[in-house]
Amino acid sequence: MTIDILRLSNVSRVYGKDATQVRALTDVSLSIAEGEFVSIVGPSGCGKSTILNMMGALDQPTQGEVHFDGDSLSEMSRGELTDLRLQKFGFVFQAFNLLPVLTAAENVQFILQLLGFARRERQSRTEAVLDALGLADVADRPATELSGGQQQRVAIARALVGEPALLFADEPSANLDSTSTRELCELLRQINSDRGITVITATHDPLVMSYTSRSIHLEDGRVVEDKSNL
Amino acid sequence: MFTLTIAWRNLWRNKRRTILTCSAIAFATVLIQLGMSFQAGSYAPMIEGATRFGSGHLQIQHQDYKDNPKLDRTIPTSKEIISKLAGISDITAVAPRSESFALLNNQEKSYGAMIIGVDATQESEVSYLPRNISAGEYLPVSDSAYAGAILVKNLGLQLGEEIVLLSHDNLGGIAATVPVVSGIFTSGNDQLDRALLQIPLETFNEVFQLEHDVHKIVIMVRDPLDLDATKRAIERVLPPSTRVYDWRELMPEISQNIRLDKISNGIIYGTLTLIVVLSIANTFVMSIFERTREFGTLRALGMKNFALFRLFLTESIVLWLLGVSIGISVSILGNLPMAHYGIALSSLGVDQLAGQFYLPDRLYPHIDINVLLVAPLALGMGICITSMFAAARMYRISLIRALRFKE
Amino acid sequence: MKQGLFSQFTLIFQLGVRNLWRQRRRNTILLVSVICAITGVVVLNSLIRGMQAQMVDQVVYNLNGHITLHAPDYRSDPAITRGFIEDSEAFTRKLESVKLAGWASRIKIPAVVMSERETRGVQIVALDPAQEHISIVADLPVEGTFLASSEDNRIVLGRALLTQLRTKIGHRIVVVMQDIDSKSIEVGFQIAGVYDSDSEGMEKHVVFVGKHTLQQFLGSESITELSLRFNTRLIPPDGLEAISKAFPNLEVVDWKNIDPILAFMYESVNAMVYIWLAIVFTALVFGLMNTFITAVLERTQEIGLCKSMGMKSSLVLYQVVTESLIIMLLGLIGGLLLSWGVLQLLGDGIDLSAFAAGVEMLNLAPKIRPAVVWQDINIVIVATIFLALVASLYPAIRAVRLDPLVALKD
Repeated sequence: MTIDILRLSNVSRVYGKDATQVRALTDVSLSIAEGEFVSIVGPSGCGKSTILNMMGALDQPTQGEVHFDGDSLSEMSRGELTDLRLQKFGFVFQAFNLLPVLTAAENVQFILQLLGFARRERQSRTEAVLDALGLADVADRPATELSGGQQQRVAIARALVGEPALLFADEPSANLDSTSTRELCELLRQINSDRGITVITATHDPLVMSYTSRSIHLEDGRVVEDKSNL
Repeated sequence: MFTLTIAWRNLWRNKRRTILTCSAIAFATVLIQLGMSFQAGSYAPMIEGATRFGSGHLQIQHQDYKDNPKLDRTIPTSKEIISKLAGISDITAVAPRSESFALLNNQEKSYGAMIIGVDATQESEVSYLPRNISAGEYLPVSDSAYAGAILVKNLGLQLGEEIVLLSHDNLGGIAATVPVVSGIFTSGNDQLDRALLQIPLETFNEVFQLEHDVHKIVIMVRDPLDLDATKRAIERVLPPSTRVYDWRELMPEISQNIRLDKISNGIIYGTLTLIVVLSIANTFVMSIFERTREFGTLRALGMKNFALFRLFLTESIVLWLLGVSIGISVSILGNLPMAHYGIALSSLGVDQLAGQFYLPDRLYPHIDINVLLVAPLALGMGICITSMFAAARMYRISLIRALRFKE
Repeated sequence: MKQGLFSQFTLIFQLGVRNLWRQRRRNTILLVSVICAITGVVVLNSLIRGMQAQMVDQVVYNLNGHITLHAPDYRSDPAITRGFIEDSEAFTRKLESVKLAGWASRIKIPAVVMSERETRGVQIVALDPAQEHISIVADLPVEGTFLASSEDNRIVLGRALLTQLRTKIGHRIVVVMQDIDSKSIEVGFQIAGVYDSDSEGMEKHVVFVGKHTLQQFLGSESITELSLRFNTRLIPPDGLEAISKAFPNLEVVDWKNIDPILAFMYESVNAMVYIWLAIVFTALVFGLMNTFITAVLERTQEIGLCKSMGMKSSLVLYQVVTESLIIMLLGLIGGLLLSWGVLQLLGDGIDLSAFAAGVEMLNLAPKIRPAVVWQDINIVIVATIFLALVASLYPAIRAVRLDPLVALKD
């Protein structure tokens, strides 16, 4: 039996007030089970990022509830949400993923420092994850000197190093060519299957979608299709 | 005009920074102007007090008298020289003085004091001492004396009592007279109040056997800070073996203190200006850095380097104008009530110190063009130089890099 | 958890250093302005403190001592009739427990001196040379000879007075003063020597004679003052009280009360030091705030990224504050080093002899030697840290308030 790691019940999100109101999400309900590899797809402006932000505890719904592991996010304090993101979630954004003043390895270590790991532990874990992602060669290069594909891989390494339960990737391929995109998707699938981490990605790229096991289609803030790709 | 409009808008794109930078400029302007207006407000009364209680603005003396005041080093007070002096336009008053040291006795008590022979009418025109009378009258008759309050007290004297004056006369004999203390003064300067006694000039010259000669001719002019021309004019009519001195030479401690005060405050103002200019330089560097792409675009569109530089310089100048006008307004507004009511030195507990420097009880800060312009101009110069350095950096960024720059 | 705090601290320190280095041009200028400010404060304050210390030394050294004891009515009427009996044994016994550099008993009365040609008013200081190691007397350069003992029957004048009197060493001058019966007496003294002093006023007005000799002429065993110098620069905290208790019948005057003008100047120095510090640091705060606000604004995305990845608000706050602290502490170290260098250069003192007359009027020494007061340095250190916190607090709060969602949008 699969467990629901994430559950959205009747979630709506409205931005702005009164006349200038924009409805980004309307009455969305869905569950994501542990170990799934989900893509949220749709044209730009359909609410992909909004729903990902709700799931990732970066934003709160105007109406409805988000539950992680059975706990309601709306009942948590700001500090608890911060801790949740740090300990359970990993994030990969479409651009601007790395701190420019740090090297690749330091960007990965960053999460471990926030988590309060000892120096030796930090180093061995960072090394392991960079090795696994084939980034050992660029470990000591400044983030700003890496190619777009390398930057995204470092971002994934950083998202993984804290051993999260969930990995969010918001348009991870936006700035990549098709070869890099393919490599990235292979990597995400591998992470999903080998490490059992639930991966949720928002994308408008059919190539990315084709790698995932389930795709949820959004249009104008509503779920129009939710299908398994298996 | 167009440049000005763009510069103005650019400044308000980063409101917070512009406000902070203007505040820094205004802060330095206000502080320096307030400080300078107080200094300026204290120098004139200090010079006035010192010259009115002491040397006068200019003095004619025997050429050797100042370094070694001997009784016989006198100058003639002929009608000729007095009329010649009257012909110099800037001179407002002239008074002759003779002086010597003498021993003053009252019964068993004796003190030494400076005895000055004066012409009561003329002395009243050059000196404030006759005005500071606290009892009696100012030298009404030939055998009267005008004495400092502390001296009178030390000698155990009363108004109207006789005082014995003993000294040497010009011929080597004993000079002695017994005038009546008919007036007492309280100048606020302890040194004067303790050891100064005036008697009529005729009596003095008779007692000290000086005939019609005097030791000093004290001259007052319209402006003690602008007396070089008058001094030269006097030099042309001087009798042989005499010299004219100005108050700076006669009372070096006053002019030296003013200079020392100016120098030490100058260092303080300079440090303050430097710190403010450096922080402004910092905002320029930030502003240029942030707008690398914008400047790149403008250059790509064909804007000349010089035009860009002019734009940036205009922004700096507008910023400076804004800061200093706020500063000047605040310091003028802050100064107005003080300039009107003055500041009572006694309320600051410094009246005794003030007395030593011949300062009146109330000081009025003085704002003139000098006070208003020094700080703004110093800041303006610093701002211009730093903005040029900052703008020079603009040229060195390659166009390609500027356009690729991520904000 | 201790480990956790430490690794978080190293993280924000590392980020702080890298971020400062990224904008090194701007931050160098900032650092230079902090160094200038701190050097300005430390150097000027050291000079002011030096002046203050010299003012005290000058007045204490100049025939006053830290404390002078008089008969109660002497100060309003300085005469031998207002003296008190010198009892050396009693003095020694009473002063045994007080930590003194020494004490001297003197007679100071006004007098008139007359040479063959001129007359001047002076203050006679009758002393015992053996006791005067505590005062300026021991160090005065003298042409001819100084008084050999308390019984010496000659006189020593200042150079300026000698010129005024138009007389010479070896000649005789007549001194007119009042004796114990308030009668004027005239006494002839031979001039033993002439002293030079930084103070023209002293040269003109102070003459020295033997104490015992003068007592003989005045017909009295009295002295008019007992002058004490402690072996510290200032009077120790309980010093004044101890002396008052030991001499209940005498008026106890400390150096501050000898010259109220001087006391005022001494006290105002304490205020000046802090006013100057406040002015300079206020001038600095604008530039600091400007820079840190910009530093936060241009890193909006980075801060948003950190927050979305789970960096706590407190850590975001500390990060901005840490950058400010790094700059200010570097500036502090640089400023203190530069101040040390400048003070080293000024070590000999600033020569004000070009302003000799003015300086004398201000009770200053002709050479200002800087003096570092550690308490002032400590206050500069505390103020620097305080300023680092104040200037970065607003930018730091802005960073904390940044919404990670807005920050991540580009």
